[in-house]
Amino acid sequence: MALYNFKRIQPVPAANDFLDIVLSRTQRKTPTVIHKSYKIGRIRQFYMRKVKFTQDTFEEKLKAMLEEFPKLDDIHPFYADLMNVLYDKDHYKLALGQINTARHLIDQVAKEYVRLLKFGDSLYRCKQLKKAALGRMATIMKRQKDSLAYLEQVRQHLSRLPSIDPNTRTLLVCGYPNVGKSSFMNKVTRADVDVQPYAFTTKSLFVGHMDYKYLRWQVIDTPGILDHPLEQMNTIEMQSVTALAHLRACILFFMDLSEHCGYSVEDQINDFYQIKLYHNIKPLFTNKPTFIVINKIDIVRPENLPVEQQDMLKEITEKDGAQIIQLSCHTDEGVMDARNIVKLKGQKINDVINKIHLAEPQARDNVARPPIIPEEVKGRSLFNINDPNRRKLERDLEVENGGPGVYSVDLNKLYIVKDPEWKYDSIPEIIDGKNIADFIDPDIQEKLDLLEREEERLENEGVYDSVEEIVDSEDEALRNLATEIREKKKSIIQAHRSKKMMKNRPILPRTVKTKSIEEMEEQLGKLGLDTSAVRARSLTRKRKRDDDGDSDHMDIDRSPSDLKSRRLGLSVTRDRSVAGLTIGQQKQTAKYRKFAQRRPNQHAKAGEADRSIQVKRPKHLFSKKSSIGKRDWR
Amino acid sequence: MRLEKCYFCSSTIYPGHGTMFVRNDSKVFRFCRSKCNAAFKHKRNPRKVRWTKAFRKAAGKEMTIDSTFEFEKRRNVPVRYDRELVTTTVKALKRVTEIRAKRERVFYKNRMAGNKEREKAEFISEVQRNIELVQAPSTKIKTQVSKILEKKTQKQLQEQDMEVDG
Amino acid sequence: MIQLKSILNVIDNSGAILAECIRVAHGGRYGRIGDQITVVIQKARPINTSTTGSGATASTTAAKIAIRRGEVRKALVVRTRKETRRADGRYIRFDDNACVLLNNRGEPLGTRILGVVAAELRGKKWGKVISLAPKVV
Repeated sequence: MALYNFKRIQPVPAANDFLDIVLSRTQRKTPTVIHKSYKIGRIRQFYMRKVKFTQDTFEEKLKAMLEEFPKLDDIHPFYADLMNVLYDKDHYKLALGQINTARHLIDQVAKEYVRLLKFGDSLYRCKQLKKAALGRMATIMKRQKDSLAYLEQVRQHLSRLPSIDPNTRTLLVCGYPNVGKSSFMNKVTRADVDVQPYAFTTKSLFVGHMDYKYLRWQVIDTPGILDHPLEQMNTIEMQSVTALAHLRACILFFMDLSEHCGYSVEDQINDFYQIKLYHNIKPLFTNKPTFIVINKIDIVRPENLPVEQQDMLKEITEKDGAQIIQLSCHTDEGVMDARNIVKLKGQKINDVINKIHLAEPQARDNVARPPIIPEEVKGRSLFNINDPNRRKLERDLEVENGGPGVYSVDLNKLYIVKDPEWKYDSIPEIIDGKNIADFIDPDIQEKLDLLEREEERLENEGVYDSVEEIVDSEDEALRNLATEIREKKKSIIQAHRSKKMMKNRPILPRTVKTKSIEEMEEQLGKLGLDTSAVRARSLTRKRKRDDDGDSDHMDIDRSPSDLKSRRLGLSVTRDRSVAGLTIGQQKQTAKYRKFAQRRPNQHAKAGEADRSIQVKRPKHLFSKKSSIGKRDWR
Repeated sequence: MRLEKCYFCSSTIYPGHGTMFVRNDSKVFRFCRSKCNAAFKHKRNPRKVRWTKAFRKAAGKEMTIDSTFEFEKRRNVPVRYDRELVTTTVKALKRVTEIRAKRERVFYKNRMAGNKEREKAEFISEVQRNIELVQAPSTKIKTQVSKILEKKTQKQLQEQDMEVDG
Repeated sequence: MIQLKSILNVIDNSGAILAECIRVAHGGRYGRIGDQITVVIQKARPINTSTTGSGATASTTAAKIAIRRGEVRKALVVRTRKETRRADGRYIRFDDNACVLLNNRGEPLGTRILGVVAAELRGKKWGKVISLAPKVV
């Protein structure tokens, strides 16, 4: 069964508040305004919605209430009984039943009025119907005033009940009033129960928790029980009895042999109420580990009691197997012992054993793997600080060598090396740009020898013999010449490229560029050519002017071919439609064109030569200048 | 303290130099300098970048297979300190480095062996084709060139003869 | 260089995925590896209601504490993209900025760390984080 948590129940509002909540919710969550233009259908629907909504809200709230309150049949019998004792089962059931009835009634009212609203013929009538519906619902709810108040009180009390888990390991402390039950509780757990020197200080159940051997124990403190028949017991005592009856727990029956509990020894000698009580409620202890706890032994011990009483106690222990524990909460004597004894005897030991698991790895082979204890440790005597011949510790060394802050620990002395002298060697790490650690290898000598032999072999084979390179002068000359050519090539390419680089600039045609005679001379000179001829030519040859002096005479005596070519050069309108065609082809095309035109001409159709206006008033020509703004309209 | 190898160029990283990058799969990349780090950040492949050791090895420009490489290794086997072992190791280390240097020299020589002949052939063809660029095509020089070339061919012929004879 | 608005990966099993720095605890301008910061969770793994509801199976602390988007938490920077200087002069740099969430007492919230962390944490008394991490560089 689940852990009970009665603290989560929502508060139950009083009847009037309940109404306010529901009605204001209706007001908030449904439309409120009716306009003139609304048709009657819409008005009806408007009011139906209000009625239905109110009913829904009631339904929702009441249902939640009914679900949240524990049903006595479903919960643990301990709680069921406890609630019966505390709140009276009949009353509780009646209250919940009434709430349920109210829910149904409201449902019916809503149905009825929704049906009526369907036939409402005016705004006014619809409104009155709605008013009546809500009114009747309110009346039903108001009648539940008492049940609601009762349930609210039950809720408050329930929420304050200690959260007892009926299924966990539990100690139940019971006994006569004022025998020190609560004191024990305070000693053993962290609970803070009120302890006073009068009877019935504890009026209800209290719960404390304690840990023992990694397990959590629940300790329940019960109110005291007086010795009288069950029917005469009051509510407070009945709580104890319920707990005793229903909880599977280890029971600690507290007894006070002194007269401090208010039930004097005199009475006890005669009647010995406490033992009598024990016998009375013994049926409740069956199948539960029981202990008789003799409290207040700082005042009276059972050994000091009169013989009859001792006999009575003995009788109990012998008959029922109950163990007697002695303790005093005042002096703390025996409290912890009591706790421990009870736990071990609590028949819960199996639970603990079940939870303990010792893992052992599965044996993978037959090799035995016993714990290894070094030989030198085996013979060692136990370290004793008072022994003058004891082993010397690092701490002793520290004290001898100047104490903390001065002495620095020598870790090297623990090194395990072949020669103790090596312990303090500073080990090189790096040499010649290499990690020494990468070369360390136990059989490096053999490997090195192998390498040396290989080296010798290579040398014998003549791998290392170097061939002398002879450089003759002709080779040298050739090389120089070739280098020179290469450089020249390179410079030419570079010059060309640099020219190409001026992409965006106007490029002069090569013919326009002037090259001076000097440049030409220089270039040819570099190649070792004779430049005198160049210079001489430029000096002697002049441009011939054929028409200098008499430019004003008319040129009538030109040849006809000359004239023609000049005319052609001046201005010719070329017909593009026949461009690139031979004369024969031209004629052919002209013919075709004529044919193509014939039919449209016969039908007096517009040909391509006719004037046509595609757009009469092109917008861009007929609109104003644009102002600031969008230009989409254009 | 260890000398590490650069992830990119495989050079030695001395303590206090370089940077380290740890990828989220906890692989560690060490770089000798910002140049290598930047190249890594640009996702360059060290095998394709000409100045790295990885390229040189991949392209056959350096010795890759040799018995001297067997000596330097991360063995991951703990060996107890032994003074004698360390001294022999240091000696061996020096000797191995020496041998390796020698072998590398030979390797280089072998790699460069055919270069001379090829170069000469290139020079000759260059001169034959483009002599006009530097010298006027006068008869005098032409004869000079042809003389050189003739000599070459004679030599080659002689060599061929020798080979035939041998 | 963790500062206001820096987004960090959360590399523990607390349930958060991304966190945004809203304050560097020591009051300086930038947080480095080993610094505490305050973060707001920007992205978290969806909370599995079936495990948290009954509490029967979920026993780890991480499962008990459900990290939601928008929560403000303490965190510890364990990786930074900005390089950190080591005592030997080397610099170490990671792929991303990452953190682990801490509770109010400064203990890791998650029970597991998923990814590399910097060894700088060891010197700054974060041994717990170091021991949880699968790899320390």
